[in-house]
Amino acid sequence: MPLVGAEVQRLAHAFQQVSLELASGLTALRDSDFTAIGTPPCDSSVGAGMRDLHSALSALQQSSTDCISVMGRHGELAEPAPTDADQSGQGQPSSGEVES
Amino acid sequence: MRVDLVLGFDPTPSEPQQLVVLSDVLRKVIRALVQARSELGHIGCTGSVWDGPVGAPIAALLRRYSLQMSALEESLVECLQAVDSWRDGVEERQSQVTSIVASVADLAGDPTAEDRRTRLIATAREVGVEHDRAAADLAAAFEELSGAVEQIVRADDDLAGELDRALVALTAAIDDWMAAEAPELLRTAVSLGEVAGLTTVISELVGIAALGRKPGDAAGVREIIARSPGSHRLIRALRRQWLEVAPATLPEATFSSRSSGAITDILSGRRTQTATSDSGAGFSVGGLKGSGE
Repeated sequence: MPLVGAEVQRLAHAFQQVSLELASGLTALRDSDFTAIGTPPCDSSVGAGMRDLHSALSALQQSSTDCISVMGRHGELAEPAPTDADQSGQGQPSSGEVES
Repeated sequence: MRVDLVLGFDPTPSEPQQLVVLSDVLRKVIRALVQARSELGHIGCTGSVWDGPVGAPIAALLRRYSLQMSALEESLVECLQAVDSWRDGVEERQSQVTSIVASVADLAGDPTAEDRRTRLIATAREVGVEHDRAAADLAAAFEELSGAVEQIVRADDDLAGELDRALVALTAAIDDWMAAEAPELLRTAVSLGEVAGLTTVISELVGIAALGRKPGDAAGVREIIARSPGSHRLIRALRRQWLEVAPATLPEATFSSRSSGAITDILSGRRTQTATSDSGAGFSVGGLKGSGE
């Protein structure tokens, strides 16, 4: 099933990319200090919003990481079934090959 | 000159450098979300390969995941706009306050300038009120972000679990299809094998690959024919033509002793004569005739 296999691989790759992008977003948030933005009540709201943003990004990234694990468990969908030659460890000439 | 020391309060608190940092962070996160979303967008969109009945649950969860990121992104864009607007306002108000502070400082020690000093401080307070109002708008944008996060990331959302179930269903669908189509798949595979075998047969008949058999050997011929059991028309043609024509004219498989005029002879139409006289040549048209072509 080459079409299904290729699409499943694309899907797994997409989740990996999503995970990487969200990780870069989390890195940008890390160690940032959001005080002295404005008035104290404003600082409080900004700080809370940014903490919530961190939680949301973490959750979204966790989802993509979990999806990568799930894709890994269904790896047989992304790989072609092994042939007899693969299983025996040596290739056999196809019926169309000329043995000259 | 410190504003709070001169006026007794700071009407426009804000660190411009902190605003630059906040703005940069928001831009980076938005960019990451846009990039992440684009990775999924083309896979889960309507009309993609996942849009069929079995793939639909996968497309649906991809769209939902993408929408979660999109909602967060929209909320962050609003925050970024609020921060940028706040930055512009802060710059203007702090500039006004700096000017007021300079004027108040100039009046220090002048007992006749008390009224003017009071008016300047009152103006600074008005700027402060405007600053507080603008700060409330900024705060509101981030409170909306918090609200959006609550909506976006629900505790009961199990994207990976849904993906797992969808992939199990996909595997089952493929297995069912394979089971239903297996006989046809096998017939196709056998047929392809016959075509491949036929290629070998023709190669042997034209003398390109003798495979160690002598062309005149009837047992060898039968074996060659037997290798293409599904090609009835070819078998009939071979049975009709092989024994009369092919054994007599089929040359040994070699390209080593072709005479220099052979191709010219072929092109000039002296085929039969060439085939007969060049019976040892590998490029014999008699071989082609013998193959049934």
